[in-house]
Amino acid sequence: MPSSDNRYYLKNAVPALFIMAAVFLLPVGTVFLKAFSVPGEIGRTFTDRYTWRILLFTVLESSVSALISVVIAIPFALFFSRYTFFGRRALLTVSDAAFAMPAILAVLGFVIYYGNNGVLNRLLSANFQILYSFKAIILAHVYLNFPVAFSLITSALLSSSDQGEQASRLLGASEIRTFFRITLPRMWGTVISAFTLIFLFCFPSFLIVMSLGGNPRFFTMEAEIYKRTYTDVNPSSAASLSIFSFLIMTLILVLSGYGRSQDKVQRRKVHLKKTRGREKALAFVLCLLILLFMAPPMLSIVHRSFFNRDGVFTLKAWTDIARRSSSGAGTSIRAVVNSLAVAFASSAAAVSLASSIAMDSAKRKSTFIALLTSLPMAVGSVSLGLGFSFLSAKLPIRSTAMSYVLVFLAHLVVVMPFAIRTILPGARKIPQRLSLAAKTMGGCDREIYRKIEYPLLRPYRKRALAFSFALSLGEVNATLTLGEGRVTTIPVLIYKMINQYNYQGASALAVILMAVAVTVFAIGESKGDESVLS
Amino acid sequence: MKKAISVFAVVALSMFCIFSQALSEKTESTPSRTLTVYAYDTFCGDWGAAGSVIPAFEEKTGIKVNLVAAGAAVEVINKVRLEGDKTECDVILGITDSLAEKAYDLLEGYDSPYIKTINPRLIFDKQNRLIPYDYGIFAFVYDSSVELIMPTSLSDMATDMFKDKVILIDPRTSSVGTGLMMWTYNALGDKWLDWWKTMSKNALTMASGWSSAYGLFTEGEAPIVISYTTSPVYHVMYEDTTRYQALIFPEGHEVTIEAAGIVKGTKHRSEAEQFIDFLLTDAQVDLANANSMYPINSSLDLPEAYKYAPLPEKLFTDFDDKASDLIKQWEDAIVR
Amino acid sequence: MSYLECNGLKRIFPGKFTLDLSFEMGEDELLCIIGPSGSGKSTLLSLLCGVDSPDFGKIILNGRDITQEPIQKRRIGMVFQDFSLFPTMDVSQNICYGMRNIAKDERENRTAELLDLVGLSGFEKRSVSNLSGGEAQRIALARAIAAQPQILLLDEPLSALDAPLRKRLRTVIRQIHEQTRIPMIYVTHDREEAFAISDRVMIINKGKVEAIGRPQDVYNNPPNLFSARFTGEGSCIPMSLLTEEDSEKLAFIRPEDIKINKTNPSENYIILKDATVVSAEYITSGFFVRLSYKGSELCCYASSQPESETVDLAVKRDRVLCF
Repeated sequence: MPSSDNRYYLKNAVPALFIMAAVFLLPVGTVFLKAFSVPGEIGRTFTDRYTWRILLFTVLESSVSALISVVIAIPFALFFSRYTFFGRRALLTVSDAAFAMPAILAVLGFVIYYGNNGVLNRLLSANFQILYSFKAIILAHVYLNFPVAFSLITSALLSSSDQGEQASRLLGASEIRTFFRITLPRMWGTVISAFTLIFLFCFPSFLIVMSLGGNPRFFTMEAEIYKRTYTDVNPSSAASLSIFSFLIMTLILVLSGYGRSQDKVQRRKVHLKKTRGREKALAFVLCLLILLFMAPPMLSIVHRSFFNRDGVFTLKAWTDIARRSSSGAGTSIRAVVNSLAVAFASSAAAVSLASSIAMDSAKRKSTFIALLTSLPMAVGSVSLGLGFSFLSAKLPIRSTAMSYVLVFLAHLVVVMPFAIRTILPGARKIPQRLSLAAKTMGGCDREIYRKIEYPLLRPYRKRALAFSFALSLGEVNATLTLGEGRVTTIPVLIYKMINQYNYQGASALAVILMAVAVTVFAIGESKGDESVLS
Repeated sequence: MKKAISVFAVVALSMFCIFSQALSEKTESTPSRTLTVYAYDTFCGDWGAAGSVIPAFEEKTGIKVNLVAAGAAVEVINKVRLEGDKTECDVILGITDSLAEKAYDLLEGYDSPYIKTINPRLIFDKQNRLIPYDYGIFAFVYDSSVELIMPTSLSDMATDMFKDKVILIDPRTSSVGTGLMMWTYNALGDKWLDWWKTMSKNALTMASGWSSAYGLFTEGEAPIVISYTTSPVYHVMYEDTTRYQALIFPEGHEVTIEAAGIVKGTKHRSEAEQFIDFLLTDAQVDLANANSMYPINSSLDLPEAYKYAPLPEKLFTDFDDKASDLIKQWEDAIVR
Repeated sequence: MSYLECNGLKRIFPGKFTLDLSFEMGEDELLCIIGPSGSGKSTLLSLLCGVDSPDFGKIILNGRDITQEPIQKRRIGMVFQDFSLFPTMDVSQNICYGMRNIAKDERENRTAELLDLVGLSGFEKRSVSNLSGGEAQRIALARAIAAQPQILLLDEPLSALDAPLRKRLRTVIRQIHEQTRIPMIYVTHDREEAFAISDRVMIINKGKVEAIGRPQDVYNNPPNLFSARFTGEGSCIPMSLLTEEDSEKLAFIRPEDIKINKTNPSENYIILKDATVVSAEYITSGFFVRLSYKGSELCCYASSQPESETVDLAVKRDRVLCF
C-alpha cells in the first residue's frame, strides 16, 4: 500500500522506543534475572500466604485512597467545569503542579503541619493525634492525589459537550436526576481512569506508609521489598517480590485499558457560565476548601524554613544555603544547578522522544505502544532502585560523569510515560486529512511531520515539558541509587537534611523546589483548559 | 528543523553544564596511589565523618581516596557482592556487627598492629576481616523540656503512662530497629515479645529508620526515642543544649560496633592497610565525634561534651547472628 | 482521447462492500460523481488520490500508469469538505506549500494571481483560523491549484457551507475550471449542484457505475430505474396501468410530463381518469401535486392548486420510461 503505511513515523519513533526499552528493560530485566537466579524463589514468593496478605493491605490502602480522592474530586470538578470565576485558572494550575510533588515534600509538610507538635495543634492549642495511623496514610495519599482526580475529571468534563444536561433540564429532570442519569455516565470513563491512575500511584507507596503509618501492620509491597533488600539482604527474594508487584500493577494497567484512545473527542467547547449571587458564594467556599486542604502543609514548610525547632525566627537555613555554596562538595547551590540541569536535559529529551512516539501511535491508532510506554509506571521506586543498583554494579566505567549520565537516563524513564501521555491526545487530534492534503501537494512524510504536525503539537509539548520538568525535579530514588553520592539534586538534599533531622534546612530547600515547580507550571499552563494529565 | 536543533542544544547545554562540573572534579589530581572506599551515605555526606577524616588521610599519606556513597550499610555489602571480581572497591566501611556475617566472604583479614588498642570485648571477628573503629550503645533519648516522669527501665516503659510518648523503629527496615529488638531479647529474655506487643500499641509510631525517627523526635512529635547513649553529645557540641538526654536502664544495653574491612583481591593492599591503621589511630576522635559514637580506643581523651554520653555498666556484646530468626518470631507475634 | 482512465478498478472489503468500476474522462472535463451515501464515492476517491490501492485494475492518468505510485508523485490535487488548511501557516504559506517547481521569488506573484483567481486578493497574510467557510474553501482551492495538479479532486467541497454560499461558490468553481482548464472530478451528493456545474455526471451505486453522460442525457434518458430516481422526482407505476398489455415492467414518468385536467389532449397523451389528490405543495413556480391512482403514487406540477379531489391526468406518451 503506497500511503497508509507510516514507515516514517515508525522510523522516527524507533530511536525513542529503543532508548526507553534500554533504560527501562535493563533494570527490570536484571531484577527478573536475579529473581530466577535462585531456583524456586519465584514460586515460593507467589505461593507464600504472607505475600498475599501484604498484597491485601496494599490493595486496601490504594483503593481507599483512590476512592476517596475521586469521590471528593467529583463535586469540585463539576463546579469548576461549569462556572468561571476569579481564581479558577490559578487553582487548576496549582492542582496540576501538585501532581509532580514528591512524596517527601508531603511527608515533610504533614509532620510540620499535622504533627503532634505541629502547626495545627499549636494554632488550636489542641492535641489532635492525626498522624501515625491508617487515616494519616489515606490523608496523605488523598492530599497528593485529590488534585490529580480533580484535574483529570475537570478537563474531561470540559472537553465533552454538556448538551445532554441541557436537554435533560429542558425535559424537566431535576439536577439530581440529571447528575445520575446524564453527567455521571458521561464522566464515568474518566472517573474510572482517574481511580486507576491514583491506585497505581498509591500502590507502590513507601515513604508515606512508612513515615506516617506508624504501625508495623501497615506494610506495603514496596516496604516488604525494601525489607528483603536491606534487612534480610536477600536480593533474589526481593527481586521475586518486585516481579510479583510488577505483574499485579501491569495487570491493573492493562485491565483498565490504559492508553485507550478516546475516540469521542468532541470539538465543541463547554460554555462556562459566570458565577452570580449564591454561585459566587459557593465558588468562594469551594476554593477556600481546596486552599484549606492543600495550602497549610506547604505554607507550614515555608514558615518552618524561617523558624528553628524552638520557634525562634532565624535565617540560618537560608544563609546556610548561600554559604555552603562557596565551600566544597554537595552544596545547596550546586544541588539547585544539578536539579535544573538534569530536569532541563531529561524533560527536553523526553518531550522530543515522546513527540515521535505519540505521533507514531496516533498514526497507527495503536494503543499497544501507549500501553508499553506506560509500563515504567508499574514499577515502584524501590523496585526500580533495586534494578538500577543491580545494573550499576555491572557497569564497567564509574565516574562522576557516568553517574550524571545514569541519573539523566533514569529521569528520562521516569518522566517519559507522562510526557507521552500528555502529547498523545494532541497527536490524536491532528486530522489525518492534513497529511493527505500535504501529500497531494507533493509533501513527504518527513516534511509533513516537521512543518505541519510537529507545530500543531506545540501546546501539548509545552505542557509535557513543564510536567516532565517538575517530575524530574522531584525524583529522589533513582538519583540516590545511581548518583552514588556524586549527584546531589534538591530533593536528594532535602532527603539528606531530613536524615540529619535538619527540618529547617530541608524546608528552605523544599521552598526552592516548590517555587521552581510552580513557575515552570505557570509557564507551561499559560493557555488551555486541558489538564496535563488528561 | 530549528526545533530539533534547539532541543538538541538544550540537552547538549545541560549535559555540558553537568560534564564540566564532573570533569573539573576529575582532573583536579590523579596521583599514582589511590584507594577506593565504599561507605554508607551519611558517612560521605556534608556532615559525615568523611569531611574531616578523608582529607586528613590524604594529607598524611599522599594517597588519593575515591569515596563512593553506596547507600545504607547493607547496600555497601550488596554493591561489592554484585560487582564481584570487577569491583574497584578496596575498603568497605561502616559495617556493623549485626551485618558482619553477610560481609565476611568478601573480605580478607588484616592483623593491624593497632588492634591491641581495642577493648577485646568489642572485637567480634577473631580473623580480623572486619576491624572495629567505633561503637555505640543503644539507649532511649528523652527531651527534658517535656514535663514527664521518664521510664526507669525497659519494662517500665511498657506501661500506659508512656502511651504515644515513644518513637520506636521497625526491626524489619532498620539496623537500629534490629538493634533494639536484640536489646529487648537480651535484656528481657522470654518476655521480649510481650514487651513489643504492648509497645506496638503504646508507641506513637514505628519509624522505618533511625533518621526519620530522630527527626520526628526533634520536631517534638514525642518526647522519647530509641537512639544511642551518645546522641546527646551532638546537641551539646553543635547546638549547645543539654535538652536531650539519654536514659540508662538497669537491664543493660545493647552495643553496636562499626567496622571496616579490606576487600578480597584488592590491588591496593598496602594503601588499604594504611587506611585501616589511620582509622584506628589519628581518626579515632574525629570518627567518634562525627558519627556520635565512642572511639574504639578507650584510652583516648574525649571532648568535654562526652560527659553527656553516660556509659552503662551492663553491656550486651553477643555477636551471634540471631537477628533474622528473631525478626521472623517478631513478625509472627506482632504483625500476623 | 481519454485523459484519465480507470480500468476494471476493484477494491474488495470482504463481507462488506466491493467497488468494481471502469470509466474514462477527457482532458478538459469537469466530471461530477454522484451517488447515495455508502455508494463508494469515498472509496473511489481514496483509490484515485492514492490513500488506498486497488486489488485489481489500473488507473492511467495522462498516459501514465499511476496505480502503484505514492500520493506525492501522482500530481493529483485535492480539495476537502473541511478545507484542511494548515492551521499553523498563514494564507500565503498555505498556498506556497505546494509550489515546488516555482522559483522562490516567483511565488509571491503566483500567490497573488491565485488569490485573484479565487477572488480573495490581498489575503496573503491573513491567519487561516480567522477565515469564513467560503473564504477558507477558496483558499483551499487556490492552494490545490498552486501545486499545478494534473487533475483536481473535489470531495464534497461545498457541503460544509450554507445554501446561498453554495450556489455562489459553485459558479466560482466552474469559472476557475474554465479559466485554468484543469480537469476536475467533483464529488457531491447534491444532484442539482452536479447538474449545474458538470460537463458529465457519473452516478454510482453499490460500487458500480449506474450511468454516465451529460446531465441532460442522464436526466432525460436514464439507463435504469436507479438513475432515473436518483436524478430527479418522478412517478414509478406498474406499466399495466398505462397500457392494455399485461406487463411486469415499471413505468417512470417525470412530474413535468404529467398534466392535470388537460383540455383536449391529443393522441400523444395517455389519460388516467379519476386520480385522487393527496397533497399540493406550493413551490414558487406553481404547485407540486401528489396523487394516488389505483393504489400507485404519482406526482406532477400544476400552475394552480387543484380545486376538486379527483382529477384526470394526461401523461406524455413518448416521455414514459419503461424499465
